Amino acid sequence: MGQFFDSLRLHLLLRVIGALLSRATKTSVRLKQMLTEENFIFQIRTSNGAGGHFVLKQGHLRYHAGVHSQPDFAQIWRTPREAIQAMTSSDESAMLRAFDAGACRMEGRFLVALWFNEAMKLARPK
Amino acid sequence: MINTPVMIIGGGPVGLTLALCLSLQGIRSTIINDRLTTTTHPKLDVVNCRSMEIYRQLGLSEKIRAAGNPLDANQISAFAASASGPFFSVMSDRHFIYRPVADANKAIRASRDGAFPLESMQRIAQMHLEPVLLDEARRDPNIDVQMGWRLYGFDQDETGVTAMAHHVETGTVCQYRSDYLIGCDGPASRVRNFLNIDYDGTRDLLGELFIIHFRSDEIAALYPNGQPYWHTWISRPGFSGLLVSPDASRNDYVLHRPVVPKLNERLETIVAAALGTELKFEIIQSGPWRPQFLVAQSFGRDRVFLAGDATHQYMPTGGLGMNTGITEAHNLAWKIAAVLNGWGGARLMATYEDERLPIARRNRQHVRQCAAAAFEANFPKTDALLDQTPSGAAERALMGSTFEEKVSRLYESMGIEIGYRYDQSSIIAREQGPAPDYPEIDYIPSTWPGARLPSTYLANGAALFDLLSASGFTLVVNGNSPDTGEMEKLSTAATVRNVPLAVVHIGNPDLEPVYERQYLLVRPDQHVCWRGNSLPHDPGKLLDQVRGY
Ligand SMILES: Cc1cc2nc3c(=O)[nH]c(=O)nc-3n(C[C@H](O)[C@H](O)[C@H](O)COP(=O)(O)OP(=O)(O)OC[C@H]3O[C@@H](n4cnc5c(N)ncnc54)[C@H](O)[C@@H]3O)c2cc1C
Repeated sequence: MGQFFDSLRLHLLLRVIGALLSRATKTSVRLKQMLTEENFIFQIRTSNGAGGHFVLKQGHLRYHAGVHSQPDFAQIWRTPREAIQAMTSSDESAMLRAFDAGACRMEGRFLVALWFNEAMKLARPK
Repeated sequence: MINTPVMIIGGGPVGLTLALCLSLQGIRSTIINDRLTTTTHPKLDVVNCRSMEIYRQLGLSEKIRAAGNPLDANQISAFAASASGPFFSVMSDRHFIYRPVADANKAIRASRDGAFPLESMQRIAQMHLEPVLLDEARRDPNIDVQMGWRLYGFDQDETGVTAMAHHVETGTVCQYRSDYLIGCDGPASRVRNFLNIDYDGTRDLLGELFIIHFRSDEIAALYPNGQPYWHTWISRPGFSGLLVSPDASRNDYVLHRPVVPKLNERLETIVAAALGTELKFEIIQSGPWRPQFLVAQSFGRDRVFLAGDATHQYMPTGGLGMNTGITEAHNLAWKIAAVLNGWGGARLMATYEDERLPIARRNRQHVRQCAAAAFEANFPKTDALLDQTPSGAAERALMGSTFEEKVSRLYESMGIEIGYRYDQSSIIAREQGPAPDYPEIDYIPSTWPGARLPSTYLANGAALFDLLSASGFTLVVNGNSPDTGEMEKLSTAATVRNVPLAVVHIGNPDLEPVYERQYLLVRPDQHVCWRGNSLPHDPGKLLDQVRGY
């Protein structure tokens, strides 16, 4: 049951992140520039399949619920709770700590993760 | 008030190298440095091939090699579950860079196609490099090194710069008046801050990493011939890191971890986990640090310029922090000298930023890709990695091949080290037609204007680079029947303008394809600024362009 609610919270969090990023693309000069630097599908999911993915294509960033079969980069979390903890932490090290501790696996191009980290820093309310 | 032609703020490796480059051109400088001694942290562990070429021009390459990894010791990078193994991959032969310097330099000398640097890299810790540079600067009559002095302000006007500094122990204040002031004052550069120049890029994308410097006499025995590998990347379930031996003949080691220790986690436990066995060691220092991917928006203004970490902060993946700074100092020095010696034009100083800022950005992109590659090498790791089963063996093989595919770019990117180009600069005589490619990893020798001249050896065994003028232009003549009348015209045009011009005849038909044209005009920083099969009809106009007139 706890896992179910955590999965729901993860969905909600990803949606909020999508909205924050979309808002920031209108105000941050750097983020606007970053939109044209890459095309990718960035997925955040749990090992049992909860999650969603962000698609950056031709300067537009969109969030989609559900799992994509061929993301360019994916974070695969052991549990939704661990994903939420790392993503809501203001400590930039949380992600690497989770990876080091085995709470998260990664696949694909890490440059996409760097792009996303930067975008999140720019989008996070100050 | 102390008068000095060039005031250098910061006596780290870049400030010291800048002073030595200026001295080679006969220019005096004063360095102030707020630390009283050179660094006691190992920090960097590689002086790359291009920097070694520059140190060779300064007559320093052998001294630097003598202070670092022995010439017959490896420069291997490996991937393992721990320093005691099992090893997934050992990169030792796939590129000359991993070979001992003595072997690599033999291969370099045997090559005839200009595809190699003149010097291989040198494995050395910053704490052993800086004393060599400082000692050289102290013995140089053109350089006044003042340790323990901190810049706290400066003013620039039409004719010069007045800098204010105080002594860090006594508080004594001193003023300096100079034609130019160069901020080589590191990542927290005051000079950059006073100029109100910001970095572009976003800070702290990876958070805090952790570094432990320790000493051990027992680790070497874990490696073949008792010679620790340069880099041992470590990855297994529950642990990852990088063990660096900056110099196989010393007992200093550095362990990098991607995370800071947990509460109550002992550093000794972390080191032991990396070694994979119980060995004696002594921890010297440790601490968190934050890798960055930042480049200053501008490299200076009017009479004040920046170089080194003051212009860029990079994660050390790819070893480009100081090494980029060395090439900046090399670019800046001849321009300052040209202006102070009266033959540099009014536009020359501005070309420092025009030429170097794009390279700093290019290198940043490379460093980011290297950082990403280093993380990606860990991705195939699963809990079965160390199982003594066929599937465990298959996983270890996959880790090894992924490592070689990804991490080799950190070491083998000669395109970044020696293939960079200033082809958009206004003091480079641009050519019509499509420019040849200059990729990041492979170095493709080219004399396309703006490129570093490919390095070769002449028939008598002399390295062409050793014959180039370090304080003026060199006309490199390739082929047998130079037009002496036209060369005379060029020489006269140079004399009239006070521009130092040397002439070198290659006289080796085998090298003609490498140099592509019969005549090449090469700058003091070994970059081609013009080339042609005949000399220009108006040599004065060409000289005026390349000296920024
Ligand atoms: C762990 C690690 C590994 C690294 N590995 C590599 C590598 O392999 N290859 C590589 O190229 N780079 C590497 N680097 C980066 C390298 O250490 C830096 O790029 C290099 O030190 C920059 O040299 P610098 O002279 O520009 O600046 P610094 O070395 O920072 O020197 C600046 C100097 O200016 C002085 N100073 C500062 N402010 C003032 C002031 N107001 N007045 C007077 N003096 C002042 C400081 O005391 C200091 O001595 C590494 C760094 C780290 C931390």
